Amino acid sequence: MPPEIDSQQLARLRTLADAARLSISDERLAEIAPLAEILLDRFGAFAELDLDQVQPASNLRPPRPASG
Amino acid sequence: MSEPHDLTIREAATALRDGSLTAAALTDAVLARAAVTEPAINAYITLTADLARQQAANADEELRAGRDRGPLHGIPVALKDIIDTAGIPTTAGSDFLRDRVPQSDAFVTRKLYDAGAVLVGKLNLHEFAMSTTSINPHYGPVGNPWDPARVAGGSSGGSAAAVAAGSALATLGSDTGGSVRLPAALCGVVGLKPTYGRVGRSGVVMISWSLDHVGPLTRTVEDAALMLNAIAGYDPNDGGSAEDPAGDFTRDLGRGVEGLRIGIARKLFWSRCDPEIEAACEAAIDVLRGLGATVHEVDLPLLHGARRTPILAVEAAAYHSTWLRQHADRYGDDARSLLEAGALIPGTAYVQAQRLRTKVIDETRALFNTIDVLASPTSPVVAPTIEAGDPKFVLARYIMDFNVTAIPAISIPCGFSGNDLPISLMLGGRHFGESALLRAAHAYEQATDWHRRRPSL
Repeated sequence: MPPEIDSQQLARLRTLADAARLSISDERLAEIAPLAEILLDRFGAFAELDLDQVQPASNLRPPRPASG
Repeated sequence: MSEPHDLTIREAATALRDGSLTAAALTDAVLARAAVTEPAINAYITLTADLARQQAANADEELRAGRDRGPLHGIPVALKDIIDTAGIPTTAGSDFLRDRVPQSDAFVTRKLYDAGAVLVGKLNLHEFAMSTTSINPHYGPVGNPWDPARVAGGSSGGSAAAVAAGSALATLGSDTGGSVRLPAALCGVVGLKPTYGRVGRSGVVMISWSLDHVGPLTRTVEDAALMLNAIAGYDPNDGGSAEDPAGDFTRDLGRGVEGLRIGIARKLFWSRCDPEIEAACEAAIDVLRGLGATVHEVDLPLLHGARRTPILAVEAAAYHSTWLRQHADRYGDDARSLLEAGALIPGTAYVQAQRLRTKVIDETRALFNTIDVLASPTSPVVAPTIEAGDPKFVLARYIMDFNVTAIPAISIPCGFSGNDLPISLMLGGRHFGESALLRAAHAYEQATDWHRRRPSL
């Protein structure tokens, strides 16, 4: 039995899945909803951070070696 | 002398040079040990016995001829099965790559061969290295050598179990969210995640380009340093590789911890911890304090907001996008769920996460102006049963932050639970500060004997 998921949450995840061109059933969306929501919640947190003038970290730029 | 399969790299290297042991005999002992332990722990996907015996014979011949490649010469090692080995299947623990045979070696494979190491085989793991238990739906679960009904941890479960069981003297794993340190902790061995960029990753099946690291699992801190000496260095085929000169990571091991400043970030790395584990790790810090270290309460406020970052899931979903769209049913549940969830994350969220990560890395760099190591439990709980698994990722609670911040971190044994399961301490160091980190870990290890215990398989 897939976990319960409300219709608004399902609609939101369906929109994201369609945008990602991901073919996925409602049952699978319900299965992954808890994990997806954890990851998506970060978007709200980021919106409140002061990231002015901050560039993304990149795998092409390892941290600088420690001096000394 | 210990049984050959129980030797450390340093002990075996000494025995190979004083004539009391040959690489051939050592390799035979390790293969014989694997024959005994594999039915219980399932650490290997592929054993390369014929190759190992041939390499061991070559190693002996070279030593007799006066060609000494260094401490790993003739030492039986094994590789997580996401690390390419020319002519040997490399499955990533997946159904997709079950029949894949790479035509060339990974950067780290070549480094180990050049150092004279003998390859015993390829190690089981969580499917595509994507979670914490190494309960693999295609190759079976890895059993913990201390209790085969329990998980070995993941994703490098086979890498840790083989070292603990004696079916390799040392192994390599990969660490995207703690996958070297966690299984090392649950199996009672040493696991080192170097600084991001320290060890080249070309020829390793990726999960997350910006979080993946390759690191050693060993029986002692000195052995971890010896393995790092062999595999560190600039990899021109890895865009994340650093050009920092590696040096000799064993050089400072004996310098002790007098004056070392230990940071304790309780809110981040000690919360909701099993009291038995918390007590063992507090006792370990007391040992370091007794050796001359000082202890300081610290925090990394921005890191709280960077937890549960979508970076790993999004990068993994990008790597797997074709397979996920065409053959999602060929993944096990854990990998499929992570990939599908990652595919749903908007691009803006991913970029914001990487921008926050920049600030977190800066915050971490600043913290290490005031301390020398961060100390915490590696895992908040001991190894769960295979039946229970880790559905809520409890095992990963403290470890992934070190991938986000890119600092080096090591897990070392520091005790046992009431039901005889390993407990481990994690130490984190400043970027490219592996030498100081290894020095602190070595000092603790020399003052205790947890690392000498072996499971009774």
